[in-house]
Amino acid sequence: MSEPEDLHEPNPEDLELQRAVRDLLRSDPVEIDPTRREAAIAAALEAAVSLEGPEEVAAERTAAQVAAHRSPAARHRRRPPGALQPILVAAAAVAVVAGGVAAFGQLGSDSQVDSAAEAESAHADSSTMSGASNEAGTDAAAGDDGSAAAPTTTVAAPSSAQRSAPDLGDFADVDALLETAATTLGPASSFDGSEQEGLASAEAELRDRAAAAGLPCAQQAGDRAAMPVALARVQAESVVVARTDTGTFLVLDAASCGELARR
Amino acid sequence: MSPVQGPREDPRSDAELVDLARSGDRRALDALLRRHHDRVHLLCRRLCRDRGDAEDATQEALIAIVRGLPRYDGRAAFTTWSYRVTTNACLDQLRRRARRPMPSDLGAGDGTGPAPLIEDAAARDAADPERSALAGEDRSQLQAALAALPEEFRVPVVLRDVTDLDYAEIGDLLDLPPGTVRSRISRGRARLAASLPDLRAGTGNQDRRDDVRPAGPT
Repeated sequence: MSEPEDLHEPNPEDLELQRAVRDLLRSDPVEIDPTRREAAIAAALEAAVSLEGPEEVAAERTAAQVAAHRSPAARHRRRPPGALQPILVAAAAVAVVAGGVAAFGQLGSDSQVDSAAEAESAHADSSTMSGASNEAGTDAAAGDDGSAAAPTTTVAAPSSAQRSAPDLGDFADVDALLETAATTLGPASSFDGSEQEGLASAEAELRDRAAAAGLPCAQQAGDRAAMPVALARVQAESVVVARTDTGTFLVLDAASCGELARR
Repeated sequence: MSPVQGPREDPRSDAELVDLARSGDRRALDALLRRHHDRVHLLCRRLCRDRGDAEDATQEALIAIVRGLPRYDGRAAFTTWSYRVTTNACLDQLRRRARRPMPSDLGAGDGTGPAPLIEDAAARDAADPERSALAGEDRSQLQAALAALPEEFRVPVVLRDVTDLDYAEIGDLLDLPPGTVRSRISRGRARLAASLPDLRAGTGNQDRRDDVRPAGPT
């Protein structure tokens, strides 16, 4: 980090400024649209309801509810007009990706079997409200090594000893990537796991395996009820494609693991 | 649009409400969310440049809080923990925003050059107050100054001065060394002061109303 660090004690003027900024930031009024306020609370309550129901139905209900409560401007922003198409997605690459996805299918099955026993006990703890925190920022470093190794354009044949992540290639924007992800990865991802008992434990195992296979941001994707399924690049920046149980695809920044888009 | 209504008072503590919510008590969860909504929204409003983004981030944050409740271990105060969850929701929103220009921005200009992004919103509003009013922005002098402050300074300043997170916690959230966090906060405050002449005199925003008075972490 080349940025100079300011480690000295603040002088009295700084303390005065600090107090002034703090007071202003806390007291300057913020108007709240009561309709949006109620909508946000309703969406959160709905998310709680969803967490109590069957996994797939629940997640779909949550997604629909969240979308319904989102601001019209935001809904529009998520699909900007004139979205560019991918720069290049070779048919061969798609075929290789399919092979990679199939490999993860095997991978997922293995892990689900492996973790079946401990999953059963874990399930008991999450019967009322299971789910994930968004408190993932501190794990950003987890993606560092993975993202550095990510930019590959081919997928090696997976083996039990070494597995490579599917790579969807290069894209001009996230919409184009999401489009391709939906087409090539499809709704029936191997990371489903929703039919298994002890879902939480099985997912943790899957995340570990995904990370071992070179897919970063497993924890952060898990926090969003999703699993990493592929790598790609958007405008030359490495990203991770993750997928929820209901087939929603997320694009995460490979370096920070922050969510860039979803569909 | 109306000023914020005060949260419905519930005599139970956050810890009690959290325990009840975890056990499936919907009323307790509702009370918890109502108690913290305005505080969450204030943080989102300070972190996001745009009110629509802040509202979306607020909703995402509340959902993340609900989903994260089973993993909240109580070591930090609920308010502090919810601030961290909210910050992540806002940072996600900022990243999405950075990747996606506003539709109106795409259509702006004469088509001969790149369309301006939301980063220019403060400047546009300053040049065209009527546009800002029509857009329904409640942009005070402070919000305008914050919007003009680069994100690398705005986010640490807001996290420190609104949420009371310490340098190490902010560093964890932003993946920065604590010394860098401190430096950016210091420089960010100085920039704010430069754009808010009344700040040092203690008057701040002249259009101040007492709609929201967020409490510090409990």
